Amino acid sequence: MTNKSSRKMSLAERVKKKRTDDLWPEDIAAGEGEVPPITILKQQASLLGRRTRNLIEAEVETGTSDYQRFLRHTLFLVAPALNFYRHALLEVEHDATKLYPATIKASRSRNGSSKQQTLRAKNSNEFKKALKEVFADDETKKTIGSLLAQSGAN
Amino acid sequence: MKFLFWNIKKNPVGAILSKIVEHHEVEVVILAECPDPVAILIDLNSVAETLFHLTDDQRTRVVIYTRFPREYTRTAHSDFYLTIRQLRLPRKSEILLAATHLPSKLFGNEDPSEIASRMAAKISEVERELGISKTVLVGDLNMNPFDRGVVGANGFHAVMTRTIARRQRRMVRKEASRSFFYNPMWGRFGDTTEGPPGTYYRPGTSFIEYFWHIHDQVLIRPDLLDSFDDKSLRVLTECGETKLVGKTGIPAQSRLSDHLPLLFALTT
Repeated sequence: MTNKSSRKMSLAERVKKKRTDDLWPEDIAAGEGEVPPITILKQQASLLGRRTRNLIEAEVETGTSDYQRFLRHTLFLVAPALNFYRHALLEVEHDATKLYPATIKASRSRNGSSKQQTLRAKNSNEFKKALKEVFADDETKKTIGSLLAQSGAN
Repeated sequence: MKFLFWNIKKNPVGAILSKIVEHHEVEVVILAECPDPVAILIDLNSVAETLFHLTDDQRTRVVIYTRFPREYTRTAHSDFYLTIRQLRLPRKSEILLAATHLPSKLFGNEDPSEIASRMAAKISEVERELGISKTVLVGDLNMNPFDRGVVGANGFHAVMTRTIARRQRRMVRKEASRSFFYNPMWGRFGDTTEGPPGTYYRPGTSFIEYFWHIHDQVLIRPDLLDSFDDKSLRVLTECGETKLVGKTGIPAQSRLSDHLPLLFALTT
């Protein structure tokens, strides 16, 4: 005779039990709407490689700051031909649990000298605009040009 | 995933190499005797749709290019002769790629079989540390498959059949248990096998001369055997209309290299 309390649970019972044990709501998913800064940075990193035929590549490294309150993404230029020399081009910080606003810190040229500048972006469009400004800055172009020349690009 | 290994004898072979890798859709290129890795990168990427990346290891005598970004490869070990890379590609099993160019028996005092012995121990150590047993070793071993550094239990312990390799390991004189590699190159000697009689040709004046040698080899661990089809292994002698050998079938060493390229695939 089968002991009811010790018999194995059926699949339907197991699924039901699992549902009861799981207290998280059904609708947990990646946030929609804004494109995260890290995604945009990685896209741009990949596009730089394509533009220079991988003589200069870019890599994104992510860390935290202020006791994990903020995520900090650093975009590095990497020159494989120069013993993988790495140059930090810019840093992006945003609240770890929110995508925006994001702060972009980069070195930019002003009247012939180099100065650290901070840009702020409230959303992905502003973030892209700020990145475009940093990429188009004379200092960025000179840095990439110099690394390319030393890497043997014609 | 397709791999190509070639000892390019310090020659500027970038143009033909690019043709070969595009024609065969190679994803990982491993070169020995490559004095200018950047020149090769420029040539590879002048025609490639999916660009190659030069991977970061300046210590080893081999250079590795991958179509996938460096974030998917990690250097688990590297010294002058050997580099071991952990390949972690999305939706694929993790494997170890070991690549080497051992010294020639003809030059210098270093015995390749002694180095092979240390190298085999290092590969086993890395496999244990990382818990990965799917390893492929490729390179110019400067030894034939029957040389003690390749077949010996103190060397790579690379045997000629899958059946033996699938036993995983064996006790040697009741003292030590040694893991096997499968060495498909055993089946590539002479005129009656597929492809050229070897991968490297060297005439000589000694009483015993093999003329053709198989110094360029790919060795597969038993746990990776199901991912390796022997038919994918080819010693290339041509690419389209470009011949890599002369009229007598000997590698075109003045123009390209005295070694022929080795192509193989793994379905991980």
